[in-house]
Amino acid sequence: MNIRTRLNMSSFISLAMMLIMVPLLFWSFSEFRKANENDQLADKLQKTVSERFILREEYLLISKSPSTLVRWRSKNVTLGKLLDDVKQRFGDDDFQEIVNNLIKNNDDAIAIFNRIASNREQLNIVGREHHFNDELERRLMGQLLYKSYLISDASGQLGALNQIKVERFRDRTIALLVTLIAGLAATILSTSFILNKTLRRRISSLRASTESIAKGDLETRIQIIGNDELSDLSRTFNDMADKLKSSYESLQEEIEERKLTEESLTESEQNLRQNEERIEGLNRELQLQILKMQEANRELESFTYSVSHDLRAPLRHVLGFVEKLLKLEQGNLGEKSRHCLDVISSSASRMGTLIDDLLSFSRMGRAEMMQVKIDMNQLVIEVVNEIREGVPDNVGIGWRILQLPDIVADRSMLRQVLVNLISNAVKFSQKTGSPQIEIGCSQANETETVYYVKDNGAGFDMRYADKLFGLFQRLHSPEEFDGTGVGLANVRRVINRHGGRVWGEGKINDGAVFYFALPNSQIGGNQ
Amino acid sequence: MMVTEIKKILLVEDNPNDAEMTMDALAETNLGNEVVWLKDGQQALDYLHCTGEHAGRNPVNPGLILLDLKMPKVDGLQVLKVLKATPALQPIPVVILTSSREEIDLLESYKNGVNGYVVKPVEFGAFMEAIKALGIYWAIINLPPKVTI
Repeated sequence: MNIRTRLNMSSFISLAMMLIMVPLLFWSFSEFRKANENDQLADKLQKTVSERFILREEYLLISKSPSTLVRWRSKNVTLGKLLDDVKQRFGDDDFQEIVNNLIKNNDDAIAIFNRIASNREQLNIVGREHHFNDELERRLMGQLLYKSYLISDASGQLGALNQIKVERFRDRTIALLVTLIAGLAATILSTSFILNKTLRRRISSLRASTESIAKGDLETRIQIIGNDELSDLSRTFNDMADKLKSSYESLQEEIEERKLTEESLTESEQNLRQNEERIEGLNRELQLQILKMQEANRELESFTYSVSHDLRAPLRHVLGFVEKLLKLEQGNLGEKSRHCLDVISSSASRMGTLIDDLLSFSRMGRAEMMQVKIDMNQLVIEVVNEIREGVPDNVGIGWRILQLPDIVADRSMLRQVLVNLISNAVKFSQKTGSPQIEIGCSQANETETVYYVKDNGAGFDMRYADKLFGLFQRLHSPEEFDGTGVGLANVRRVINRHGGRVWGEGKINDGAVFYFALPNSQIGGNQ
Repeated sequence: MMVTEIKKILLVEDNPNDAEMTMDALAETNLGNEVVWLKDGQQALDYLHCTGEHAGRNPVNPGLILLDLKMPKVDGLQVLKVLKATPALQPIPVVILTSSREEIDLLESYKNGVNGYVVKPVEFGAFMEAIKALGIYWAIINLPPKVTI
């Protein structure tokens, strides 16, 4: 049962008790008051009866004066009124007989008194002396006295009886009042006792649980007893504890997660720092390497400088002094000696060429590139014209120069490439019957443009195709074709520096085609 | 009384072989100019400033200086710098005669006011022709300003 219901019930019981008891108490009290009033009436009646008795005695026995009679009659009226009152108020069965007797006796007494009075008047009228010892009067007097005693006795009895009633009503009222107070007190006490007994233990358990949770023990739960507000509260409390626990756990998880994230953040920061340090280290290393490389470049430059300056001097001297010797010993030299001097001369010359080619190769690798847009048709014609000047007229070469797309490259380097490839084509084809040289573009897509130089000359064995572009690599003997083996190496170096490719296709005695592809991405870059 | 004096040609060359060949070539031109051969830059400066072992020489400036670049002690470029920075010596035509065809040498030489730059050809014939042409051009054809010392 709900506590609220219990409290309501207790209030209801109290109210009902009040509703029953209070009217009862009122009624009882009014009864008591009525009885009290009756008591006063009875007293007054007794008093009036006594007074009338005295007046009658006075009149009948002593004064016989008419004023006394008048007073008696007035008292008589008063008594009559009182008796009417009494008759009205003492309606109970207990009093009925007494009241009736009282009225009857009073009526009788009055009638007797009137007979005495009329008797006396009759005597006075006849003018006779009044005789107290008159027989009739004595008899009537006796009757009257008797009746008077009866009346007095009845009025006394009425007072006494009423007094008992007054006391009884008073006791009843007091009893009712006590009962009401006791009932209310009992209701209140029992309610408070029950509530106290039921609630104190559970509230203290609730309080203990709350305190335990407040201290941090989220596992605490309240045992649910019965089905009232407290158990509802306990359930709510348990739910709250559950939620608190789950939210605490999720909070804990979140904290854990954050901690992990923080840790990983710190870690990645450390990694970053380490990487930065590493990068710095690498940068320093790179700087060092660059310095070293610059140093190496300087050394290389001074090396090529030395080569160009110092290595050529002795050759010049060899050639110069062989020439001087020939001049000085003109006519004195035999055929053999002359041959020896020729070999010395030609070897020194060849070495000079080698050195020059080597230097140009080294220059190609080092020189800075100046990328510009090049009109390939114009450049090719320029180169071809230059080469044709060096070719004897009797070698009738059939030139075929096709339309060539423009390209972005270093002009002087690309010129060197064309010079090398075209002069090679001339060199290797001029011994055939009718040399043909074709220069064209085999492919021009979005990524690259492929140019080629084709001849119908000596060609080469494809097995050695990969050796073609190596430095000092030659596929022919110097007797067949002269050359240092630097030209194609130079071509490859230039094309590689442009980010392109170069390759050759050939067949022995059936010509060769040399292709070079340059990336188109550079076109449009105004460098 | 001013006598038309054939001015000397100054050859600054550390290599005796090159010097011999150069002097041979110049002799073949029949120019008649006396060739003074100096073996390094320091000697050249001493000669030009009339100091050191050339302290007592006739202080007439040479008509042409053929200057090698790579030399011991003081190199050709340093000699050139001093020459062109000295007002009295500045008008003397200086031709660099070297084995180096390096771009840097060319640039530096012209920057310092050289009058000519000739790369010694390896071929004997070409070498002789070059020297002869040089001598004829600078000693006969070219007209230097008159300088009073």
